[in-house]
Amino acid sequence: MRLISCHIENFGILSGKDFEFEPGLNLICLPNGSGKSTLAAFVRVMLYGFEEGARDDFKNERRRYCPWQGGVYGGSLKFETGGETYVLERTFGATAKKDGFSLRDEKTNLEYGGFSSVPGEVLFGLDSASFKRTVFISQSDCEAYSTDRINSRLGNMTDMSGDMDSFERADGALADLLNKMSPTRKTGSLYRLKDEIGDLERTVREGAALDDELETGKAKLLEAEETRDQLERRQKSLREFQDRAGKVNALIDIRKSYDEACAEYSGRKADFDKARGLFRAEPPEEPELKRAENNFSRINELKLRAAEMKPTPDETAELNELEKRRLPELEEIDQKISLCGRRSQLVSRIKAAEPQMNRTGAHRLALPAVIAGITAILSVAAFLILGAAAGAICAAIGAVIAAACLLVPKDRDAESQYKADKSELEEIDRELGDFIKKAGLGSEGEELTGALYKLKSEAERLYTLKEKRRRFEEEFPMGELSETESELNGFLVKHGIDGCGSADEGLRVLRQNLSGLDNSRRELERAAQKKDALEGREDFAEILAADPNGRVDMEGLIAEIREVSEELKNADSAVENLKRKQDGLRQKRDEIDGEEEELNEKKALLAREKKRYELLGETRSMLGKARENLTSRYMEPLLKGFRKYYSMMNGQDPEAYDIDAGISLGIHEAGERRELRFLSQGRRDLAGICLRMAMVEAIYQGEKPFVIFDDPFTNLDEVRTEGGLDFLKKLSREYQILYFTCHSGRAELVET
Amino acid sequence: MKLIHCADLHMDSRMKFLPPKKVKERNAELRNTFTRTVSYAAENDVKGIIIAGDLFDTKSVSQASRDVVTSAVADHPDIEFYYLRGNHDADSFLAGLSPAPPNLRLFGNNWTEYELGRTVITGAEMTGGHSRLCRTLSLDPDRINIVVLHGQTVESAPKNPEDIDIRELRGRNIDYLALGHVHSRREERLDGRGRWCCPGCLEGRGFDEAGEKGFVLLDIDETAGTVNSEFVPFARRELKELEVDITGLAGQAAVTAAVRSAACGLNPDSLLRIILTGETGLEDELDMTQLEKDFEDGFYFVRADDRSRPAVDYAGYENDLSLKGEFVRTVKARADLSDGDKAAIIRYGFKALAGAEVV
Repeated sequence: MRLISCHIENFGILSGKDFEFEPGLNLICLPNGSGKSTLAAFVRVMLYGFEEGARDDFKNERRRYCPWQGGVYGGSLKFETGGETYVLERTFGATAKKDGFSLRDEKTNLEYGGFSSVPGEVLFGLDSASFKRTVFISQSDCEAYSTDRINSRLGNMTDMSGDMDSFERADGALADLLNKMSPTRKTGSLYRLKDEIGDLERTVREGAALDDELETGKAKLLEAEETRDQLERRQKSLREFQDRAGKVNALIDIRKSYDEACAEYSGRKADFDKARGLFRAEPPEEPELKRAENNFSRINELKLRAAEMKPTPDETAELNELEKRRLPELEEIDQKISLCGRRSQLVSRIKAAEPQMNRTGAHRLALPAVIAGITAILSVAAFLILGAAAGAICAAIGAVIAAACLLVPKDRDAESQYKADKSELEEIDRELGDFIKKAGLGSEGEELTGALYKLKSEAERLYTLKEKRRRFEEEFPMGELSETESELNGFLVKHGIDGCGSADEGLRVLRQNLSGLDNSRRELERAAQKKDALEGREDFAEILAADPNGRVDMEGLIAEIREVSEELKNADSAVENLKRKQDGLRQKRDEIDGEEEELNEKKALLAREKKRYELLGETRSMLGKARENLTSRYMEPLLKGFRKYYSMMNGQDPEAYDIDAGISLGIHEAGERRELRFLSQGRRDLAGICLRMAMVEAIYQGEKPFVIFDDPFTNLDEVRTEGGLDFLKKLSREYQILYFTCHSGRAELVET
Repeated sequence: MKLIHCADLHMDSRMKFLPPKKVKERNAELRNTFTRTVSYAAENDVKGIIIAGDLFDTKSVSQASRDVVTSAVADHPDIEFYYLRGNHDADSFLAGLSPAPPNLRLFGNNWTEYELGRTVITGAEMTGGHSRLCRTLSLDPDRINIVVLHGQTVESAPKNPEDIDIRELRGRNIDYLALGHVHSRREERLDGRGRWCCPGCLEGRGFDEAGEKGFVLLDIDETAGTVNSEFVPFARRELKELEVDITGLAGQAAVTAAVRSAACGLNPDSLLRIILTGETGLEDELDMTQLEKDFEDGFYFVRADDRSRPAVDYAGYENDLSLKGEFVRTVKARADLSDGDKAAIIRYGFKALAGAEVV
């Protein structure tokens, strides 16, 4: 194939440029900076597109060659292959998606799809990297090494699988896989698996220790349970003992109470007996005593009444005396008094009348004065005998009479009256005289009145005394008194208290004694009740049997129970803790069992993976070996080609050089095979160019491709440069050569 | 008189191969199987249930398991429960029983006997030193003797704590040796008089316990002095392993169809393990997850394992000039590698070259 022409619309520094290419050697001599390399790049980019991905603006070819001046970014390339001419037009946008592509058959001007969007790959059968390693030789990049594509082209294999192409990928994938599985790298799965197995083994080993711990724990748990059970039994025993002790102590307390009750009973009995002993006879019942007391009260009452009613001895003597005198009755006395009064009246009237009869002024006054005098005497006597009221009344009457006497004049009638009066007076005197004789008064006149009054008073006194006596005799319940006294006395005698100072004292004592006896009885009854209550208990026999010295120290017992309860609580906790620990150990043991299963699985997995790793290693190794075997087949022709071109360029046979299966040049110097990187740049470039051409020759057995030389001789000396140029001329007989240079001298050499 | 002999229920098992929700379900089913066993006993006039160990799987028994067992025992006072602890049983269950129901008969480190009519049930718990224990066993030849132990029979001196030297138990008037520990059913003659039997686990928990599971029903004729046994499948679910040869089948769909055909008729309540065997093409990719997904609705649980081997047509690559051909020849030339390894390497290489995940 060959390039025919190209048009660069805008590409890097090139803009609106056209180039024509001839078969054979095409010299493009341009000064520095005029776009030689850009042109070479343009051809490559037109055939392969940009190498994308770089971020750096220089390394990113799309941005690097983007025309600063703007305009359509792209161009066209006309080329010929297989006898046909094609025109390739491309424009480039900011991204590949915005690129334009057109490949037409120049003859038909129709789109030709036979080259795909990467026509270079179809034309050269190489990818872009392989293109740059072979038919595109740029300055300072002459080093030759193979790629899969190159190797596959060198092997002349057209297998559909593209094995050689995929060898690198396969080898890389296997290397990655082996790396991931590495048993030596910490990140390797086999390494980690071994680590995990190690951890699991350690854990599983702990299982044995755990079993021992479980056994020990089991024994401890049994022991702890036994201790707890013992403490439970002890606690139960103590509590039962506490119940019994409580009962025992209660019995003892009851026994004590019983003893006390008995003692109290005895005491009360003694008291009672003593109290009973105070009674001569059977102690009176309350009603009886009450009756006695009532009798006493009654007697006192009667006696008081008697004292009031019964005449006193003096009164009795007085009465006797008065009775001896046979005093007239009070009525008679009163009547006599009245007579006296009448007499007086009469006397008065008579006297009064006498003056009348023999009447003077003085006589007239004499009567009222007499009346007044008599009234005064009578008033005093009445006052003394009958009281103040009687005295006053008498005084008043006298005053009225006196007043009347003053007022009443004397007259005839008065005379008759006088006579009557005198007669009456005589009568009265007579009656009074009899009475006086009878009464033995011996008084006359006013004295009589006084005496009468006195007599009356005596009669009244006699009457009073007699009445008193009568009343006493008739009304005073002497019988009752006697009976009551007799009864009381009998009571007192019966009860031996007649010797007391008085019945009152006796009764009081008796009451007191009885009260004391009652109290004693009550106390005794109470004590007896208490004692009986205790004796009536069902457990009385036990109470009797209770040993007062057998009291259980409840405080101490409670303290002991508390202590045991505390110990039991601790023992329970200990048992629970041990159980929890055992549960935890069992769980852990189960986990370890699980991990033991996992360990076995992992061990099996490790064995499998190790085997796999081994086989994968063998796979990689043998794939590499197969590749080497394959590439070694074309090593010979490559070496032959290299030597030819080396001789062509250098004029010497490169015996010292060889090529390995990796298509890598080496040189034998100083007894050793050395890599080319140890040689000078010039020698390296020289060797690289020759090897590249050897590859091109080996690859393209049929239609030859064009080869681009972008000033590759910059590191060669003059001789070798001259050799290189000559080399180009010879090459151009077979290949279309595009030689870019900025050296005019070299251009001249090429043209000559 | 009838007795049930069961063992190894392993309540509260982890069953890590199942998702957490199904672990919970299966443990509920294990407990339910125990409850159903007791109900069966009640309905069928069974006088006693011998639990020959490993009733629980963990040392810390869950409250649910504890409640199920204590309720079952307490609710059936007419049934005697002879519970002999195994190597998995801890004392946590019994420690939580206070007091133990009267019909729960326990065993200790030394021989403990329980009479049930003419039958005597004697047992001792596994503490290591079975030989010593076995030598001290003395049984009345006129009784029907059932001995209960938890361990595995060996015909030699014990090397492990769970080994029972069966030779020590011969000639000791045992009519029936009720064992636990081994999860698969086995019954053999002990001596001229009796047999030993391991009923297997009551309910399978993993694919290593596939197949029928249940208990052994003992029918004791006390007059004749005979003990007849009959296995009663009783598990809620069965674990099944289904091997499907996928040789010659190309692609996921074909494999799925082959599995579907093989699984036809299987109980949908089962836990199914699909095991692909045979040979596959080097470039065949089988998605086990997809396969499990395709069958998960048809069964309680499905797991798919690929045990197939890639078939390598070495002759076909003899003249292959590609990298693959070179690779195959390089691998083939390695005499130190087994055919299986070679096939695996080639499969890995092909997958790597194809850019597929290398598994």
